[in-house]
Amino acid sequence: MRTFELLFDGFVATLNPTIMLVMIAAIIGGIVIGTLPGLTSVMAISLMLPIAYSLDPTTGLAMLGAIYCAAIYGGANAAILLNTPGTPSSLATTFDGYPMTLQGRADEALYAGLIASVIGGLVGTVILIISFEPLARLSLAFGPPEYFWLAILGLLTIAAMSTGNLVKGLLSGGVGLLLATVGLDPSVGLPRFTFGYAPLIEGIGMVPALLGIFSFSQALKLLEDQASYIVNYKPQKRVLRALLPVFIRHRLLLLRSSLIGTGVGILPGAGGVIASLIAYNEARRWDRDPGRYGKGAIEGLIASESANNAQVSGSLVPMMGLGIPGSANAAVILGALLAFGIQPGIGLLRQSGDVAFAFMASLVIANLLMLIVGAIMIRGTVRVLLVPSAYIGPTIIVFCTIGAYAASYDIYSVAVMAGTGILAYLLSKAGMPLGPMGLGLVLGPVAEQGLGLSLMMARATNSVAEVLVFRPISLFLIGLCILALVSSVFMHRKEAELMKQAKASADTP
Amino acid sequence: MTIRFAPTLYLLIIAVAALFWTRLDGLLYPADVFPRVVLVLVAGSAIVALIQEFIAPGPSVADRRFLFACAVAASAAAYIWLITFIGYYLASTLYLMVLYPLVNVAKDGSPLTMRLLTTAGLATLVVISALYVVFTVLLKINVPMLFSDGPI
Repeated sequence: MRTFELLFDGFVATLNPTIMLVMIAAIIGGIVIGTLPGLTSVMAISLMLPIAYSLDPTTGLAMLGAIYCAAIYGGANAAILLNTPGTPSSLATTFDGYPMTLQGRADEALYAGLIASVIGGLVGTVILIISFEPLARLSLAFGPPEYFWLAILGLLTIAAMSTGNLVKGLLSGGVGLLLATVGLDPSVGLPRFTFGYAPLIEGIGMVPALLGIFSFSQALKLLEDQASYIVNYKPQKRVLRALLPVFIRHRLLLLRSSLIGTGVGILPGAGGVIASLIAYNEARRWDRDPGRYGKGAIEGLIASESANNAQVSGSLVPMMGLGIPGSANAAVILGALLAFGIQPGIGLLRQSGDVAFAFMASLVIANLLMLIVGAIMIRGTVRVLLVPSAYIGPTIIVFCTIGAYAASYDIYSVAVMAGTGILAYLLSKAGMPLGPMGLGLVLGPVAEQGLGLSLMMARATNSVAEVLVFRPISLFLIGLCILALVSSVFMHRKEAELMKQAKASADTP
Repeated sequence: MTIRFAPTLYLLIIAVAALFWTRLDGLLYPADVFPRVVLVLVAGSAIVALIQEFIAPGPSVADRRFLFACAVAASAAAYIWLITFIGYYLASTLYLMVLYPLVNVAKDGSPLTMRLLTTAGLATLVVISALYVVFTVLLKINVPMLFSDGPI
């Protein structure tokens, strides 16, 4: 009962006009930052910290929550229009979002991304409100072996992405994993594969490398392409009306992806990339026609976007319940909570319940505001397709450069961006998909850290299997991995059969 | 000119994997376990891809356009190098002023006219101004500059 009272008071406090205006400004800023490749949601939140401190706790936290939601959503715009994930969380959005743009369905993709993000965000926030205390306790049961299997589950998406040639997909994923091993190893902390070049000790940064793989290489492809425009864009009419039945039809997909996003978000360190990739893979696995994925299936886009925005609230669960941030973004918000003198954890409800519930209420309102602000901003964003590609390609290179530099204030990051970009471009010329490479780069460190720490734990028990396999959550995750593997093999066979049938019917006079 | 470079690329990947493998001996357990698995995956899939390429060669990576993209990639390296000397905004202005007209000419085969140069100049001005407002004025990102005590 007290929860409902606090929540009601929270909504009343957040619906204050000043807070609403601050949130609208934060949403606009968050969408812009999220759309710009290289500028991450963490950067957006941390840049706003000094402003948040100058406000009262309710307004300051509402602003940070709004910018977090908006920046994660904003990443979808660049992913859909330019095949460039604006934030790493939108990696899976590129798989079907960009093909939709190429098919002249940019408006549909952008609005679907917005609606899916809003629904995902709302589902995640409702779960946060209901269960942040018990779910936070569950996240403590995840140790290194469980993280290892979770990363493996994410890496199995490579098989799903490798339509046509599994070997090339595996090779691309392997190259990404190999790049992730450069630098200090996560288990003993010694430099590895640096070849005597000191800057390599800090490794291949994720943000600059993803910029290189998806943006820089894309710029080179645009420059190489003879076409004057990315696509012959014609505005679609009544997109929202057309999308309504689509979302009603895919309500289960939305719910499942949002639950996956929230669940993964709760696990500290798992993040939006894993959330969206697992949701994408599950969407593909449950679909009757998985062959459409990667070729402009709106379901893939909905799964990815609803999961990464649901992850926002999920990552706040352990932060608010236990004081353990589920992501770098949550860590920055935790810093803000502490700066306001609010102690997260079990005493949060007793001591600062009003602020905590006002913050959760503000996340609901932020998502609803994002629907309106985002819909208005889409009209301007989509106009990038009216710019000749001769101007877009060089501009992307200049943006990538400053984006990579801003990731660590170091020219080395820019070199990493360009190097990985050129490598990705050459790999793509050999017919290798770039999604697996990005996936390997992101999930490699998570998998390696989980494996390394598990092996160290196994030294104490003298049994690798006992530590790595025979644990309840590990066994459950291994089961999911086997299921994903078997279903992807089945899907590849089915796809090959369908191709054969299509070819045979085409050859028949 | 026709370039068939997929087999060469696979051979290079195998060579890089072998080079990385030679560096594994100095690593302490368990820091060497994950890289070993990854290197086997990379080398193994590169070998299979190479065999596939010999059995059924993929499409050729050809032509002038591929070489143009490679030239742009090389020019990007020069641009990054230039940033360390003259700063980000000046280097970007020069880079865009040169690249915009060149790409237009390469794409459409249209002649280098005064109008094209003017459009390129205006586009550069708009992009650099937007970058300056967003990154330096609003986000206060300490971008390398020619006349500053920043991290050039």
